Amino acid sequence: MADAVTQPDAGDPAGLRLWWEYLECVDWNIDFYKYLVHSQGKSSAYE
Amino acid sequence: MTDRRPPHLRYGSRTPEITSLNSSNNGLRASNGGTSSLSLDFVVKIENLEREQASMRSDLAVLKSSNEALTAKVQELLKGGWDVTVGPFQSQSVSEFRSEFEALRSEAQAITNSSPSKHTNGLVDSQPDGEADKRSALVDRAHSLVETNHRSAFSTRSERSYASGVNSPLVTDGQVDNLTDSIAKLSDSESTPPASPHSTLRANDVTDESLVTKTWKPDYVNTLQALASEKQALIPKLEDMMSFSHDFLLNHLGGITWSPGTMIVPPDQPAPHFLRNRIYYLADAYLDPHLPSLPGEHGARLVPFFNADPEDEMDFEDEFSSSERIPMFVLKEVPDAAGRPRKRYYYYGHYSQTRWSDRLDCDRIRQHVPSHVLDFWAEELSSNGRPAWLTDALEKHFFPKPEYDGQVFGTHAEEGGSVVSEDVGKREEQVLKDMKRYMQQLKRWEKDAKLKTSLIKKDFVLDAFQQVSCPPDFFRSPEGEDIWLTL
Repeated sequence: MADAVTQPDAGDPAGLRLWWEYLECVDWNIDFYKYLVHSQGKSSAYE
Repeated sequence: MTDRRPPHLRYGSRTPEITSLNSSNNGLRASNGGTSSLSLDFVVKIENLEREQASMRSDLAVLKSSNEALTAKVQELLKGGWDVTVGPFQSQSVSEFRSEFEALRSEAQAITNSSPSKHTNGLVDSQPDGEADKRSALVDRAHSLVETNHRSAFSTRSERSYASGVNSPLVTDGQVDNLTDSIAKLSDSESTPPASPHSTLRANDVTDESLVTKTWKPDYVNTLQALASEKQALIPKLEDMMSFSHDFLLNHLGGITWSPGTMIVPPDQPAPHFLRNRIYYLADAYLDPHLPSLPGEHGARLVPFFNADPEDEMDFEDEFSSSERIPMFVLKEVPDAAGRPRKRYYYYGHYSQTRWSDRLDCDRIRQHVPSHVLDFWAEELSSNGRPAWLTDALEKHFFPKPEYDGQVFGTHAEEGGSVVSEDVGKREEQVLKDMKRYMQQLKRWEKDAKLKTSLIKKDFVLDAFQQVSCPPDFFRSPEGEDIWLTL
């Protein structure tokens, strides 16, 4: 029972709730970023 | 020489031995008046001077330490780490202490500067008149200042505990105690000055770490290890970072909206360059309060319902993952070159879902989800244009399928069950009857649930966010009409 409080919620249909979708940052990819910056820079439409 | 006031007037009871020495010395000079008495007189005066010097030094030490203690406190207050709405120093006037102490410090400085000269030339006449008075007055002021501080520390502490209760997690307890301790030490030092002013309050005693207030984040997010420092070193500051327009991301990366904020490029389309995984997130900082506060940080998205896993619905390559290494772009409002506010997407990093989702309870929603966010979701969920999967999810949530509670087939007694042979036929008959009834019930439920789900209005969803458990309001529309059709 003590473990139960730290376990992810198991829902039952009562009211309406939101969920957290956890996001752990695992990378900041500089090549991906540079590629997008370069691609967007090719057109002035996205300024 | 002769116009100097006798030491006992300057020191009071502090140096009684000097007074007695001096008076006996005076008597000696009156009766003899010889050279020997003069040199004796001189020796005694030198001795007096030396005592005076020592006493002055100890007084200076007291001044220094009290000065240091209060300067540290003032500086801490100036740093602005305190939340002024609550705290032990709310009622204290910092500027008062500061100006008082600036004056005190400059006066102490003046004395420090004049002391060495007296010591080296040893001339009694070089000591200016009233210097000693000034010094003792200074010491008195320092003590009264320390006492004032002591009192206010106590009074504000009791006020605080009265206001916030015993269990309040105020971070200042240690510091107030430190101050009280050091003041107690300062008071003691009246009779026994400390060997060094540093023994009373060190800079290390005051830590600012506990004062830093962070934006609230779900507990799991706070437990995560920070992104590797070599990765963090690559991330430009947000103000220097290039932002992307919504159109650019959609045109360039493409994809379909799988669930709110989750974009997927289906397997029948070519995978974009640098997006082998075919999936990315678009999030709005305004509508998602627990997103990472900066690129490279961790966070969480708010999700009302989950669509099916894309892996189960589409034929991806084996390496596809809908929960690992997904680039996220966060929409933030920043001024453009002309200073006009505009919303642009920033690349925050590649993200993995490293824990199954947790549901927010009613209290969390109330405390940590702004009402405009609930309003947005109520609008989205009640929208006519919502996708079919979302409609199904709503139907399932609000109008669950009735359960079958009829008869089931039993196991023969000969096979280890509890049904005796002669009852088997009767039982099967009952099962068929119950199943038929249940099927009819299901048919009615399906029709009703579909209708009711299609009638879901924004206010209904908003109310549902606030409900503690399945509410009676579910049976009424906001206009008070009965929208629950009996099964």
